[in-house]
Amino acid sequence: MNWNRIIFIILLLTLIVLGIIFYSPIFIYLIISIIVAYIFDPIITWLEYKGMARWIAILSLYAVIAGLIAWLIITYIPRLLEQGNQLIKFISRSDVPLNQAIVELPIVNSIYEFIQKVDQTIPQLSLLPQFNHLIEIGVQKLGQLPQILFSNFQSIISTVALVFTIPFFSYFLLKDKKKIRQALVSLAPNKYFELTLILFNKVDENIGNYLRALLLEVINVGILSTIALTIVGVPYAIVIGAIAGLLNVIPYLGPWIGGFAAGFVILVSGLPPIMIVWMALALFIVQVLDNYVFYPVIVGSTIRMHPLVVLMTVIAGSYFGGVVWMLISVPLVYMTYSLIMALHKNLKEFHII
Amino acid sequence: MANPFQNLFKKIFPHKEEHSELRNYPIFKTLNSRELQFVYNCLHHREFKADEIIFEEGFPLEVIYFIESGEVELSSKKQPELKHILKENEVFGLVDFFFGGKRRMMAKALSDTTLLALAESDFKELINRQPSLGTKILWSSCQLLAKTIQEKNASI
Repeated sequence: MNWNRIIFIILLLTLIVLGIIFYSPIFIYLIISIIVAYIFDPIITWLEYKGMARWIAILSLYAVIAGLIAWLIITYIPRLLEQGNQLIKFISRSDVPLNQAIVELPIVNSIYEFIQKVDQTIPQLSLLPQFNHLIEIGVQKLGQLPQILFSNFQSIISTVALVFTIPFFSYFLLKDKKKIRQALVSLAPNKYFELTLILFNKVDENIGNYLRALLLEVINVGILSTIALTIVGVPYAIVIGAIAGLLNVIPYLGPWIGGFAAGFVILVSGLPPIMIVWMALALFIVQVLDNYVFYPVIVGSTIRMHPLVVLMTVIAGSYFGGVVWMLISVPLVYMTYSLIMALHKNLKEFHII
Repeated sequence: MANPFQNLFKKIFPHKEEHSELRNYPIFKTLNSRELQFVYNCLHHREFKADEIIFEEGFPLEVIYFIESGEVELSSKKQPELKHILKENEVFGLVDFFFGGKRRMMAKALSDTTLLALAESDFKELINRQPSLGTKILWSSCQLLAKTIQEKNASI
């Protein structure tokens, strides 16, 4: 090893570190774009093999999605605005102080009563003062809302700009998928070329399958839960269904948390407690349907980890970085595991270790 | 005589065939330009120096190589009398690909060599996604293999 080579490598590493520092603000957007690209890729590839140029296929898909979003906005914005107006009118009534007004909101009121009841049965708990404190903080923050909006104007603008850049990123990732792959694989030295290709395909396949399965699962369980809860008659079925679908991402634990959320809503809204049993039954049927009918069809077999490992991973994830890491820790561990297994197998077969 | 409208049309839309050099390989001979584009998107360019080993005997097979330029020697330790020297526009790894995914011979570049590599997974995807393209490639592969067998029989 001569000195020129060492100096060159040091300079190269410095450049890479500087590059990472320079591009670090957009990493999160790049990751989101990659996720979006992975989700849309099968549709685009299918259209491509049907004879459509890739860029036309992507733009058509974007047009369809934009249309869907526009339709949703047109349908739901007026209702949202109406509710918002009501809320603003409600808050800005001058005869009642804001604190009082919020307590008069039906949902807050019922929570208040519920907590009062709990306090009466278990006197040591004294939840009521804490709840009052929470409401006060909420009111304070609500009053500061316009100020927050103005003071964070710049970051809001940049967020909006970057949200619009994600489709651009995804467009190029989707269009030049093969070229990007070729460029990445071409970096590998000849000796490791086939190994790199095998690992690349493995990771690509795993990530793609996992993300698409995840999306379909979330939508599937969300819709099924909403239908089941509506049949049972639980209020806010859509919101709870959506939450249950999202929580279903966490294997084993997610459905339970969703169930507890639904139970809490039933208790708070003053429905007879027997409803909880019906709700649990409905969600149980959804889980059975999902696990034994839909999951095998949609996903086939992807993640099969021992429940203990899953539990440990989820808990460790929650310590590491909160809810987001709870959601992503299991797939991350699974992918690392499968990558290392593939790496070990192939390194042996290529006589490298 | 080409008619003037055709000439005009050609002038307005100059049609340059891309990747037509791929037709030099027997298994891509019958593909049209659109299908060649699909194939080209899956190929990886690799450059090997003289005497560099491309793969060893007994390694797992992931890619089929097409020789763009240069010379490649195939040899086997088990059967030292078997030695093939392959030249431009020839393909190697195809037999092993159909045989069971293990390299039965070792490949070494005799001179500076450029190779095109087609991964097994991409090969299968091309065939599955586009049955017409797949039929053409498989048909040509069969022709190539049949020709090799014929030559072997003749030499015996």
